[in-house]
Amino acid sequence: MTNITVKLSFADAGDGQAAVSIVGPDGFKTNYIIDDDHPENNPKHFQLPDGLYNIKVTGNSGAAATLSVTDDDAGSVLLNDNGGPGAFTIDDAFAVGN
Amino acid sequence: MKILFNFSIVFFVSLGLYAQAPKNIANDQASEKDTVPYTLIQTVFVPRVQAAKTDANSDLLSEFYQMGLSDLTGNTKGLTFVASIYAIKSGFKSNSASKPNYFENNFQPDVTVGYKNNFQNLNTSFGFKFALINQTDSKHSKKLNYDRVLLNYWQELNNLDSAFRTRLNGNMNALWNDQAKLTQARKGYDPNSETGKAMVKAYRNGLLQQYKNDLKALTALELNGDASQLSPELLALYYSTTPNSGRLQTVEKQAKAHLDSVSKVVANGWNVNINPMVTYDFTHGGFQGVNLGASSIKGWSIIDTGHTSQLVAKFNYVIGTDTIVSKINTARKEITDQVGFNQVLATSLTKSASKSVPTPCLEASFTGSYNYVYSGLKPKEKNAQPALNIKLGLLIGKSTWFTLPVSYNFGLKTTTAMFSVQANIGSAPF
Repeated sequence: MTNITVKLSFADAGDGQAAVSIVGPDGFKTNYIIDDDHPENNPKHFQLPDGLYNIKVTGNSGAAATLSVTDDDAGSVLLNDNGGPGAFTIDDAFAVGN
Repeated sequence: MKILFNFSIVFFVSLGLYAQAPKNIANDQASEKDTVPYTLIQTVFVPRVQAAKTDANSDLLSEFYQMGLSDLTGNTKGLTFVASIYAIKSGFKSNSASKPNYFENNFQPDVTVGYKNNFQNLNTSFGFKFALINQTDSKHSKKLNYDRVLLNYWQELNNLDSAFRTRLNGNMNALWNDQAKLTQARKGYDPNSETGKAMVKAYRNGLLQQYKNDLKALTALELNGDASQLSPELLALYYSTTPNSGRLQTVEKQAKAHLDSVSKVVANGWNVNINPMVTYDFTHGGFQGVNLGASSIKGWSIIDTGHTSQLVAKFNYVIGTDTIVSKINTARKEITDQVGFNQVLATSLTKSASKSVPTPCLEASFTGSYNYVYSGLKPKEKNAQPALNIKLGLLIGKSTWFTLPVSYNFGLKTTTAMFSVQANIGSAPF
């Protein structure tokens, strides 16, 4: 198991919002919302088994939004992607334990 | 199929969140609390919903423009700017993340710079429009934003998408852990050696890149209906994951039909605006007049659901005149009433146009008006001035109208025809 952090940063620290869905090995599946009402969801920490993951972020932002997935144990970046401004979809993959 | 995938990307947003909704909802109207966040619905859901609907219930010709060049062929020319505070604040982007409050969404500064009598006289009108009732604004329409039945369709199609992603992920992770392929990738090197580990890593990096490419192709399919980027294997996997193509088509048709019916209810609501304006004459340095206006629009369908009709009623109390050249004169006072009828005549000029864009391309309005001038009559002018007005509007591109208004004034026994252009700035305001 590896400690992973998923974070969505809004360029202007405005009132951006997003819905995040992650699908991974062994039936792993999670969905959550990022907005001002859910500060506990950004950044979001997971303990994940090795394998490939699909992360999909559908949201809206007044400025650019940057998605980062980091391996906290290795101190490495697993994924960087971006969307916005306006309505955006990030549909990407990352690998844990490669 | 394109509509289907437009939906599916939206449905993904509601995944998981919809499960938070109370199960016993008494009616078909979801509440703001039990669906996805309000602004996310407005900025992500609604534009895609509107892009997916097949009906043409929205009217742009009558009210919803922001820039106008009026009466270009007449001796009175004007440049008009009307926009809500929200539109200005958001840079005229209808998908802005910020949530408009009531004032921002309904208050519209209204400025008209006019040249009179072949550029001999410059005046400017300042005022505002305030929407007392704003039913067709999708940003405020709970019928569109919180429709329970529509959310159920979204959820079903979202589940189809989710099932495919789960299966694709399972396939990719099977390859990730496939011992035979890992052995083959190491090419005889020890699994614990640095070379062996590097070869496994290279194999898995290749899988990750393939996965990224597959997801990129899937996104193109979901957002744009473009299946060209999908490999035959991926497309086959998609169709073997979904229950059957018949169910897909049924859900697609039902969702579109329901969406059209909801859009129609929204479009058929009443809209009432007040529009006071003050005009300043720069040439002569003084206030030229005041116009206290109110208007009301009600839409419905007469011909069929694809050709919206509208009843338009306007009332104005006018002090002053817009034809003054030599001096300021506010002695003239009149009441103008208008009852009109707008009809969308065509919703698509070319068959090759995208069927998912509900664009009313040709619209006509037929208006009867009765003006009564009870003070400040000009020579040979009658108090009562009924008029018949016909206006044709042709939509060019996404948001620019060319309009040709023709009117006959029975009181003055004159016919006037002028050419105008109206356009929205940026994305459409609603």
